[in-house]
Amino acid sequence: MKVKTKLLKAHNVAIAKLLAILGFTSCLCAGCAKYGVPEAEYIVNGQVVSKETLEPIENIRVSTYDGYMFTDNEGNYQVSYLGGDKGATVCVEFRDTADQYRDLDALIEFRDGEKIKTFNVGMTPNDNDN
Amino acid sequence: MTTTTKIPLRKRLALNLFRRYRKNETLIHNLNYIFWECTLRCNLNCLHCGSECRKEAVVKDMPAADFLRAINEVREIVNPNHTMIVLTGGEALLRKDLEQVGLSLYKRGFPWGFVTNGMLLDKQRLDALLNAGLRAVTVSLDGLEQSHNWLRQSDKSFDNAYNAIKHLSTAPNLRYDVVTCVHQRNFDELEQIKELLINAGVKEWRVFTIIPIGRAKEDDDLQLSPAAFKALFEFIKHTRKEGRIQISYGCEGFLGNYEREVRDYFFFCRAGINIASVLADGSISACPDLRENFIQGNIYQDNFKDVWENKYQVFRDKSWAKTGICADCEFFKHCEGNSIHLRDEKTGELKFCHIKRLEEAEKNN
Repeated sequence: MKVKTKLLKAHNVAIAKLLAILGFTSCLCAGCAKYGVPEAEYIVNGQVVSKETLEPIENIRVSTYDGYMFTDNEGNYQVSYLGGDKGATVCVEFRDTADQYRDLDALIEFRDGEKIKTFNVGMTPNDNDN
Repeated sequence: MTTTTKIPLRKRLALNLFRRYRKNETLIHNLNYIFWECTLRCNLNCLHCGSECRKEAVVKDMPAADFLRAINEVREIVNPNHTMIVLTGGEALLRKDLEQVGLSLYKRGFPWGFVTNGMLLDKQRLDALLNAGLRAVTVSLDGLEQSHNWLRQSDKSFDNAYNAIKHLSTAPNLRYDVVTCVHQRNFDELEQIKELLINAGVKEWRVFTIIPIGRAKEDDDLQLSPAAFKALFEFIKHTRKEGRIQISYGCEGFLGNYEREVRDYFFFCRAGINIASVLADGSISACPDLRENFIQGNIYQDNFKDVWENKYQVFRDKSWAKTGICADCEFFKHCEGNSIHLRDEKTGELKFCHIKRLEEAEKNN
């Protein structure tokens, strides 16, 4: 039974990755309440660039459950998340409020002891397929 | 403007992948969210209430020890740190032992929160609750002063709810959100409500439409017209793009091409798959709205863990829902008959279809 559950969970991780490739969130738990008593601050930082031109993108809204900020004129961002002290999975969302780039979501895993991670992002121009 | 039934290829591919995810989640059915209807007493008499609450409740409040015994039973199959317990009612804050209950849950390792109308949430009470390990709060604010007070049938309810929100915004490390039920009388106020919430420091705003259950069944004015219903989704979509407040539509309803436009996740009714509830009389259900035929057991007769592991078939195999207007619907594979709380508790018939309501608006346009 436990093996079957593990396989199903692994399958769902794979599905989450495929959804992310399609440009949809891998943050499948979004909307759930945030669990656990916060004991540690996790920080994600990095730079957002255009996948097409590799130029930095300003004013991309980067958010976690705990707040958001906009990238500066060099595409830099830093967001944080409060979670348990035994590691956390932080869902980071990248949104272009000008609607020129596709939404992008990422799950950043912090294992025991890790508190800060750099995550550089290339955003895909919007193909206006809606 | 989004057209509900015209779903682009990329989103269709994602929805098909998500079906597999949903199937796996159903097979795993990991319990991680428990509601406790801790009282049916309420200090308001809202026009739209879906609960069975009254000012003088017929069912007495369940002793906290009985609920905690049930929680001890499921502790064997859940990770307490990953299982949220939400106290609802009635009005949860009417229980004078809420702090003791919360502390007992905290000591067992469960994060906990409650849903409130804000009438009794002053700074002193909030501090006491925070000291008992409170992690999350949901406050209802259903419009500007006049429309909120009308729906809540109390002249003081707006001021109390707004003050509660301001207290919450100053609490460190507390997750809270504001819930607004949108109806004909507050629909035109949405922009003003948004500014009010942003100015009060609110980060998360959940918007619901009123469904025809409880007292809301008797008042057609509480339902949005098809055009307003669609306009609401456009409002949510544009507000999300603005990025000034994290707005989302509530958890209910498959929304076609509005999926992922108005909330962060694809539609998935998790009742009975991840969510259970203990109702005021000890009944074990999924979401608190689900009664009668959806009751799976009772904590006074059954072991909560056994019920979770062996019952809930009606939630985990929804083939029964492919009847009535769902029978020949092309979206059933994604929707599985909408949220279960929107199905009649006796007949199983669907009481409200989001897709149909949106299509109606688009046809009339």
